[in-house]
Amino acid sequence: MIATLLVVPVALFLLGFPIWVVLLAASTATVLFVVNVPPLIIHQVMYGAVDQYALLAIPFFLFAGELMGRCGVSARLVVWSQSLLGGIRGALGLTTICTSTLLGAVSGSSPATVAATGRILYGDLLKDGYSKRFSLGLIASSGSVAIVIPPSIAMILYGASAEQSVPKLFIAGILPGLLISVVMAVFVLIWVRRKAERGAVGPAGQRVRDAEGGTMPLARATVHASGALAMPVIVLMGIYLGYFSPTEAGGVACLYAILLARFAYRSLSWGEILEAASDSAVLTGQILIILSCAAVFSWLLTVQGIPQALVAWVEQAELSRFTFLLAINVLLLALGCVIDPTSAILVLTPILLPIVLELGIDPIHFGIVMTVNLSIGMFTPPFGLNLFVAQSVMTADLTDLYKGVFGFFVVQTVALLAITYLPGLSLWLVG
Amino acid sequence: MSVARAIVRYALGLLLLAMVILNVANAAGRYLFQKAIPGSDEILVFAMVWLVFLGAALVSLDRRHLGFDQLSGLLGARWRGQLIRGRYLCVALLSGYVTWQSWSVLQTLARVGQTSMASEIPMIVPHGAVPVGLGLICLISLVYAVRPTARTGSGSGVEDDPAAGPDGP
Repeated sequence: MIATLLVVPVALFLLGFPIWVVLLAASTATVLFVVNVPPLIIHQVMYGAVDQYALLAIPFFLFAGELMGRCGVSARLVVWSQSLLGGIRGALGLTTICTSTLLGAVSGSSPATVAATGRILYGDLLKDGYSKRFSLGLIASSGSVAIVIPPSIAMILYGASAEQSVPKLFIAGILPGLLISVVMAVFVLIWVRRKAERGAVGPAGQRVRDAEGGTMPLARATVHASGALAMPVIVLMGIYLGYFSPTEAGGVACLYAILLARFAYRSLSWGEILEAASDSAVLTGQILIILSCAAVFSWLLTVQGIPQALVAWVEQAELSRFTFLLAINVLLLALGCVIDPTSAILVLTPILLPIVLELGIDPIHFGIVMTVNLSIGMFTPPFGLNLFVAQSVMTADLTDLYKGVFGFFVVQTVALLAITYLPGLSLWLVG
Repeated sequence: MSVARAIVRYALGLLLLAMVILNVANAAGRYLFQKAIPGSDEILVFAMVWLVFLGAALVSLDRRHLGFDQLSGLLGARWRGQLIRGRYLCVALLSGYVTWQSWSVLQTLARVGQTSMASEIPMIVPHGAVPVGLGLICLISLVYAVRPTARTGSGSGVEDDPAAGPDGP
């Protein structure tokens, strides 16, 4: 059992097999050589894992995010953020964080957020006196908040895997997401203040220009960006007030994004909308095939009593909540460096959740802790995905990126500790 | 291969658009007219099952499955090629085996004549997505095992590996 459920997946993972193959191969080997169940069970569990109404939210939010990313909302959100924050020293750094947070709420994609903010703001940050490393680190790390700010695909996956309410997870993600942004903003302000004393950063920051080359007052910028700003409000308020389920909200978000892109902004043709739908469909396959195979793997873990054995071990070791959460943070931060959030959530949730429940930790709170950990993993060296997106978009040196994200890693880890040990941050709005 | 890829890709795009319309129409019907479209939730889920398995086959074709491949970068060209071929063969073997098992399930479902509860769709329709998707992955992996440099029409590289492509959420 240890050979098929531990050695095989680790070996295949290190040999570079896709995650879904790692999980399916380990499961198939276990079914064939260890447990006494008919192999037909593989199909049954794989099918059953994706035959869930709640998962429909994933293709819908992916599609809505694709549309919003392609229809030009990024530039509008940058102009709005700059209009809001333009009078503050370090405005451009704050604009980067504000835009990333808003784009996260609109698209839910961390790499897409890094690509969009990088394309628009990197050059201006350099012109404004921000160092190359700091600018790279700022853009690569601020994009990670997109996973935490709802609507979040990671939270839907956790909800499906842990059988927890997705609306509750979405609501629980709001304050932690905002906390990360605020802590990042404070770090930027401190950095700018120290640099400004040395004359390195301009007093008010360079203004980002709108399409006509001018700047906008806040009221006009708000109208200009209102279409984009309204989407997360409609989705979250619809869910929060009980008008939509997350799946229905996903459909509404898609319809809204289509109307916005095709008729309000007139930035996408029907062909381009179909193109976005096709890409979203393929992305759905990329994510949910892992879920399908992870279901077989976790079913076998449960049948073999692995989670129960872990619970017994935790009981025996008399681990406190504090110690357990600390250990989990270290584990997830380390795994986040090499594994994408989708795979990490789907593989680890069934293993860790029984321990979480045993220790009396709220599963919604744990879902947020897990999501924040894995969001940090998006920009931690050596393999955080945002680093490679930033490298590609800003033609940056990977060493500069590695050094640039270090300060932001420390800052976000501080925010993570607050989110971990102050459950109220996640649960206050839910309650 | 590129024409087939484009057809399946756009078909999946159209399927997703249809799913959005059905989902919104169902929600609107429920809230505005207190009447939902019968069986719509079931149809949506079945459509998603096809989206997942055909989408996964396309991801295989584009060599963009999520994974962590550092080993092949450390090897010389000859060993790297062997490793990639070996991986494709293993994927073909695995997906072929699961396709065979799924086929057995389909035969049972067809024999029993089981249909879904609300829309009375024969259950071989949604379940069929699994063997079709994995069967395609098996064929694609066999092609890549024989010709690792085959192009897909997606513009994706020729020497890249099956685990490449960090296009995650």
